Amino acid sequence: MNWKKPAVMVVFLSLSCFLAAEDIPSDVTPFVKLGRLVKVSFYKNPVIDKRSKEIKHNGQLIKENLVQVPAGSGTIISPGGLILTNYHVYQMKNYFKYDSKKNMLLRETPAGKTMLVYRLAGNDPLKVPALHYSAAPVSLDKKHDTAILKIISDEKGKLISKNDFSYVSIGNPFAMRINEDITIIGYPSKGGDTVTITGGKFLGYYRSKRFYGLDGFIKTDGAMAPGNSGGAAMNKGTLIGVPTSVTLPTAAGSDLGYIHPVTWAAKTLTIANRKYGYKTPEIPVQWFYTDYNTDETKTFLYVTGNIISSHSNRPVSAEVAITRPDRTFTQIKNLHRQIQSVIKIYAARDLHKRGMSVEKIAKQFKMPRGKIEKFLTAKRTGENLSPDTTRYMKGEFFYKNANSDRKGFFILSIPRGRNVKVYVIKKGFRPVIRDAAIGSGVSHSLGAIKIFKQ
Amino acid sequence: MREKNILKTGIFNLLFQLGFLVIMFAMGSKASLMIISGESSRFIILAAVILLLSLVWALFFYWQDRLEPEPVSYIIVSFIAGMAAAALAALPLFNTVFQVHKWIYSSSVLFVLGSFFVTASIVNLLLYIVIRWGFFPLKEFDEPVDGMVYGAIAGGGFACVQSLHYLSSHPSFTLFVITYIAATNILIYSAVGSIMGYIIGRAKFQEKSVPRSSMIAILTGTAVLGIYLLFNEFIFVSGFDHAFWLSFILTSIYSLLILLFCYLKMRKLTQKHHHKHADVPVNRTFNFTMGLLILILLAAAAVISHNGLQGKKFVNPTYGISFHYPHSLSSFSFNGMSQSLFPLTDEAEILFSGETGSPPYFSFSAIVRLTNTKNTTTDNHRELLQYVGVTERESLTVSDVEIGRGKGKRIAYSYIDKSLDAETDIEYGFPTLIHVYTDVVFFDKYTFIFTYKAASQHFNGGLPLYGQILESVRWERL
Repeated sequence: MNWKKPAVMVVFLSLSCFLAAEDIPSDVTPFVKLGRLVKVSFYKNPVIDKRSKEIKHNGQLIKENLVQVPAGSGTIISPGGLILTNYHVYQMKNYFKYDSKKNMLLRETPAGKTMLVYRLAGNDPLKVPALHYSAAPVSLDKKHDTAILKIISDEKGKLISKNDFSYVSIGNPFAMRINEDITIIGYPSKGGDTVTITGGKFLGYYRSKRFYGLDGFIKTDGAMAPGNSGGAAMNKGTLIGVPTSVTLPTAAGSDLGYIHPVTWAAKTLTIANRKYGYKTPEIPVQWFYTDYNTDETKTFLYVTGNIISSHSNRPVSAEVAITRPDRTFTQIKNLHRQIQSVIKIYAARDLHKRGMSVEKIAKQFKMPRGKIEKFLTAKRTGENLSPDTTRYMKGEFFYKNANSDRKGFFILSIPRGRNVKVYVIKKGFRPVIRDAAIGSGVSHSLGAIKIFKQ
Repeated sequence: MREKNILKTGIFNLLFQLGFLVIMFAMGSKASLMIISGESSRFIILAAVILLLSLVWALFFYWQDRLEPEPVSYIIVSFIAGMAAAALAALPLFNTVFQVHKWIYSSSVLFVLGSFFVTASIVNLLLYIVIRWGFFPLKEFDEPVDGMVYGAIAGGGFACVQSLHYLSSHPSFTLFVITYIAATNILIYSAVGSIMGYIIGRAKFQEKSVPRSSMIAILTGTAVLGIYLLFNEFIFVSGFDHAFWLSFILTSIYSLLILLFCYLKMRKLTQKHHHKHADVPVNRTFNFTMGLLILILLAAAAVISHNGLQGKKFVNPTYGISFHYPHSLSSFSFNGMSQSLFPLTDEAEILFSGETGSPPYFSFSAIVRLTNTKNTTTDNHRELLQYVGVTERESLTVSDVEIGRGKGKRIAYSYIDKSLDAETDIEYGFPTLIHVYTDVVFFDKYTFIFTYKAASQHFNGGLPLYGQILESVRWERL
């Protein structure tokens, strides 16, 4: 009777292999591991504030070395070498560890802005990926936790401009039926140095009124662990999302994995395309129209443009505001002022509701207790507000504003198919007021807006 | 014969200016003089471009005057006189005395007043002085066309220096923009010079009163230049993509119309008086009415620029404080607003806050709070810092300061500004060092806190402006 148990095991494992095999692409090289070069410094006798645990002074440097540290996973999504990953995979905070017994401080700081890209050599998923390239950040979206990197050099640091990377095409994350198969490919640290490919089911979209962040991401029972972040979630051979988070093992019940729909990369893709001119995969606008899409992209698109000084033909950092055409600029300014104060009141109430004490809120807002208490106890904020402010707060579009960066580039989300007014304000330059009709695609470029010196 | 001539040479001249502009557009719509290393070589190229345009323009006028050509030396002298008027009088007046660039764009009213009564009137006064006291008394000034020739060439010289001054301080401008500025300046200043020259010269041949003609000349020139400045501004405010071309074409048409008007008038005058060479005794003595007009115009310019420079007045009767702040501090900014909406503490109130978006970049705020008598007398810096809400502890000095008649303390410190737009601007993530002056003035009831903040590289540049604001602070009830 002893032979029965191993036989069942074999059947089970081979079955699971078979399920996943359907979705495993023949080419595994686009599924890369991301890491970074980190400077590790050891200090002796640091000065540390005992109350706030803040480091006042690093102390005496004893040892310093560079170490390659794994950061997460990524997927090559274009032949030009663009990598889609998570914002939190790219963004590394300064890490430090203090050993109070030895009075030693260990600090880890990123050695540069680029990330290391490890690729499976010889297209063999059983091998350990090797360092092949390094990639520079192109666009980061903190809100959607997505980021685009671009492969710029090989492992020796020599610049490359290859245009034949094998890549994964993206698929519609809103067209899956419940319990359809999802394959998760990535490099969780639990799985060691080799790639880990797991299978799971599509369990629907996460929706919650209590959740204050974004909701609408994909739920799955597929196994994921830290390190999977930024990797690939595949359905029918296409990339439908980016594995981003898992429930904590401390929560009761089985763990669930959360996948950000690939449509959440729309903003970063638009920046990569419009600002840098990289060829990016196109997302059909029909994908956004579904009720399952709870993101702003359902009705909004990304408007981009470049502010250029006509006198020097160079990009300029200026303030850009896109407003509805039936309001004057003065009306928009007044609305903006009122919104700014309402935001503070709501933020205070929100924090209080979530259990933050009045003292802490007062400290965070740099305001006295009494004022915060007034915020919290005032009956309704709506009484003194203008009708426009009330409508703005209900979600109507009045204006959006942004600063163009040093490349003159700006990006704003605006409702599709609207007539708008574009204002460009920059001291030392004449203001620009322009009418524009916004299209109905995924993004809309206003092109170069020229401003003239005073 | 002459009519043919003006058309022929005029078209040649215009085509040259236009052709030069087109060549520069093709060559340098992207490139600027920055590609040339060395400031002196840059300056030489700039001067060459500007002088080339002026030279063609001078030739055009010289050819008009074929009947009895003026001596070349006189032509050269008139050009140099125009240059001298700009370099020795106009630029110092605009930049140092009236400081036009500091206030003229701060409001539309100031722009209109400044264009007419400061910029245009001073240019015309100077050109008038050059023509009236430099060339009008000459023996060679013997036909009506001479006024136009001397006026236009002096105007060209004026434009030359004006362009050179403006462009040499903007090395980032593209070759196309350089040519555009040089060409339009020459067109308009020559046109203004020629209409003045014509009106002044007319007095010599029509036996009209010279002072009266002079007055008409100055006022006409002022109106012509003022209207031009206004319309040109209007073109640029519209944000039209090809505003430079539009401006160039309209400037050409405008100046040609003025020239044609002068030319036709002058031909009439020549036909009437061709037999008679002007032997009008030229009165070199100083004319009282003219002096009065010059004084009035200068006084108007002084009043307007004083108003502009003084800035706007801030008055708060509740706390009995008033001060003047530069116009550049008051304009609306989406991003600057949010910080100034809420007082820092319950008893504190933000009276005023603003920031400039152009060099020298800085932000200024004035805050008032109830005086806590415990803290006013103390020399303990830590308590003082807590009192005004300065959290920075390092790189900090405290010194005495006097504002208005109020005594107080100046807290100087720096911090690193880490805020940067991570989403779109990831390439340039260098943090900036911000320098801050926080000036605290104590009175019995209220304490006033003035804060001046600027990035380290702009800090010293903005200090004079901050000093001006502080100097203008007045307290009603101490």
